[in-house]
Amino acid sequence: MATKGVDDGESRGSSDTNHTQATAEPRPETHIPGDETPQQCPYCGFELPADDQYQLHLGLNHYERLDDADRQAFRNAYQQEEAALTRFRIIALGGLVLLYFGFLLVYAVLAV
Amino acid sequence: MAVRLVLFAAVAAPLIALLSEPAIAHAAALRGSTSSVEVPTWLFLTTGGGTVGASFLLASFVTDRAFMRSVHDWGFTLPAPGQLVSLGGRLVGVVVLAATVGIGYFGPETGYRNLAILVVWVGWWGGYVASTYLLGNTWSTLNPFRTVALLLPSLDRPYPDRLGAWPSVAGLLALIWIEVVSPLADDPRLLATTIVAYTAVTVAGSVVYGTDSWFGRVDPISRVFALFGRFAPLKRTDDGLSLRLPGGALTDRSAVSGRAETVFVVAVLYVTTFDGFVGTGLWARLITAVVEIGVPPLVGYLGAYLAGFGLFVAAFRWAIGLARRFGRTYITQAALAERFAPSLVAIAAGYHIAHNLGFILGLAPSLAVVAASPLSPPQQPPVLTTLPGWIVGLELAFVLVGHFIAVWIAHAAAYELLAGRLEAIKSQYGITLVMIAYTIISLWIVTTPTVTPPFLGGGGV
Repeated sequence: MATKGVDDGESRGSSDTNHTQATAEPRPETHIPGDETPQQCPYCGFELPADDQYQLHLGLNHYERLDDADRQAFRNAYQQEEAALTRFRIIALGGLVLLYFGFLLVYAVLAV
Repeated sequence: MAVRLVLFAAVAAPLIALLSEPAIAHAAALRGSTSSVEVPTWLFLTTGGGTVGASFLLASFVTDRAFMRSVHDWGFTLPAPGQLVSLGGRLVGVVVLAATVGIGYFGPETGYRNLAILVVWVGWWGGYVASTYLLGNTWSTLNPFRTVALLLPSLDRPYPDRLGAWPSVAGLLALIWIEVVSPLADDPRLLATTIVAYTAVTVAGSVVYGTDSWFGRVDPISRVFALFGRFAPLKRTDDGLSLRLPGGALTDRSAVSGRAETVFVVAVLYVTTFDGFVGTGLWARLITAVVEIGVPPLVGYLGAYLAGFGLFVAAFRWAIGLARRFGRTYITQAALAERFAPSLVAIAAGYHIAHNLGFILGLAPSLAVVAASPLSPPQQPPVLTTLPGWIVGLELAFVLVGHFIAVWIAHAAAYELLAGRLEAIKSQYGITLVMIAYTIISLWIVTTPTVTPPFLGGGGV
């Protein structure tokens, strides 16, 4: 699977905007599964899954060149992500508490 | 994900139970000290794994890319040592090599009284290797093989690009294989012959491909030190010595490139683990059982060696596969692996020092005394037999610190590659699980009592 991915990425890279990309940083090779239609970044040619990942890429890497609609879309995606991150942080905190008190309890029982 | 975690726990629990010795283990001091809290081994091992998991959860709270970059870019430049120091370093390297080979052949036959054995295993493989990740990689200067090769003309044939780093993967596996199965740590004559053979191979390689190609791409030892050097805080640049945080250079885009180099990083981690694993009681029982059913011992060793390597590579690839799925990205597995692999270097460094610290400290007096009179050393060179208990604590701390830095490097890599912050966190699920499993395995190897590997006929120094 990975071998196929590299080959696809290389052949794709040579045929698309690889040589004219604006950013100085080389972007990683990509491989798109046959049944998915990627969203291609108009500024650097990087392929991303449609929706929020695409909006986030635009805002993080090419904010200066976006029009107002795209900037607004980026802000929305970023804020939605913020909400999801907060949910994740609560779960992560719960995990830490569980780990800490779990081990504390086990040690209290077993290592007196 | 929840199903997967339960599955993982179901697989991990019996494994930990298997690794746990039936006796109660000492948590803090396994080599002699008596003042330790006693906890069951499984609890001690899962605590280590749990700590690594907790460090992932803690790292997940840091989602600010600018802050991460500022951490990695922190550093300043010091004046570099001059030409004279480099020349002196080269000279020292060659003199030590010549002395090691000479005394290997003409010194005492007993391993622990021969300077060659002590210089190679205590001074070089123990102490010097530690300096490459604790201070900086000086091997490109000290490397006596390179200095010798530089004196010879070169054909400068182009190195075939398609080979990439694969010859160094094979070379590293072969070197450690020889080290494990032969009495290289006991027999000074054999050690000297091996060094001469290694010199012949490297010099021949440099004459054909040029020293830069050979030592930059093929030579496995130089490649290991170059990787460890990326963990180190000091690095030589054009402007002088640059100082960075430990592991900072491992977050660079160029740290590892190409599939072969990713596999090489996994191999570095694997060979140190296997080296420790053959010294455990579990392995002694396994190989004895295998030999009893009629398998030749060396075939058993080789089978386990290669199977273990396959398992390490498979686990890493599995983790990268999860990273690609949870990261919701089209970036290829190979490209993701390149950025996640450097985190393993931090683990390998932590494990190396944990595995060798007691050994280096114990035999350092021997090295000093034997070096003073290499041709007529005392019958019993002094060793530190009882190290203070906190040394073992320090070893365990190094295993954990290596993992913490590794978790952080993987975290930083994910944030550089992926657009979404939540996706960047989730992409580390696989690599974190692999690291937790590896912590448990390496803590077990470091603390389990060492036994002589059966059927090999050598005990080591």
